[in-house]
Amino acid sequence: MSNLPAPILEYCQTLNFEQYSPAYLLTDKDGCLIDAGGSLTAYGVTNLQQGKPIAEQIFFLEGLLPLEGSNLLLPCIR
Amino acid sequence: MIQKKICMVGAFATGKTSLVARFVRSIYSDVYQTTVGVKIDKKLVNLDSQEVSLILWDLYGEDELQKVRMSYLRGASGYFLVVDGTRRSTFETALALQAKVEQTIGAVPFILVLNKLDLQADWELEEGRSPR
Ligand SMILES: Nc1nc2c(ncn2[C@@H]2O[C@H](COP(=O)(O)OP(=O)(O)OP(=O)(O)O)[C@@H](O)[C@H]2O)c(=O)[nH]1
Ligand SMILES: [Mg+2]
Repeated sequence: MSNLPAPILEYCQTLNFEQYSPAYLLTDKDGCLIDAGGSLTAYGVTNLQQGKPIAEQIFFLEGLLPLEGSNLLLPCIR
Repeated sequence: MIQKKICMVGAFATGKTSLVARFVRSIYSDVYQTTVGVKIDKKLVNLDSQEVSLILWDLYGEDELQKVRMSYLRGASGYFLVVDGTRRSTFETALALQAKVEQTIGAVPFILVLNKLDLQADWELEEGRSPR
């Protein structure tokens, strides 16, 4: 894949960001927010408070954490 | 505040979305719009003068082409197994789903809902007769 010229790679990356709106949340083992970033507003997520349980702030995360090493794929959430 | 995740599980068009819409927004429609993926709603209820927040996961229904993705059920405190009384096959789907859910998230409580009571004349499930 990296034998693609830089401008094309860059184009693909931009396309990815626009299409997938990646965002992240980092929590401690009790599910309290440590850090967050990315396109959170694309998901209607604003006013996050560090140190508070993430499931109280983004209710659909209730029960999902901790991930215990595995990843979790949940497509098409409305 | 206590917060609990509850899932709606069952075959397609058994009435899962309608039940949630009725419970959360007090509305009902005859128009069928199938659920794609999952629609999550929140509803506050009072239980013994304590406020409980219910996080309702309304999953798409299972059909021949699409099995229900078990990862959606992670962390659920309970689930509703919804059956359409007019279609016996939806009862069998519910039984199979129940076994699969229990295998994935363990023995969490569930309630079997026999839906479409208004169409009881057309039910394929009869009282006192176990469906096969
Ligand atoms: N007669 C009757 N029709 C119902 C009842 N509940 C739901 N329906 C109808 O059944 C159809 C399917 O209802 P939905 O609530 O969309 O079913 P669903 O289980 O969410 O369907 P999927 O998302 O495709 O799995 C709709 O046309 C509803 O209006 C009921 O109690 N009686
Ligand atoms: Mg639905």
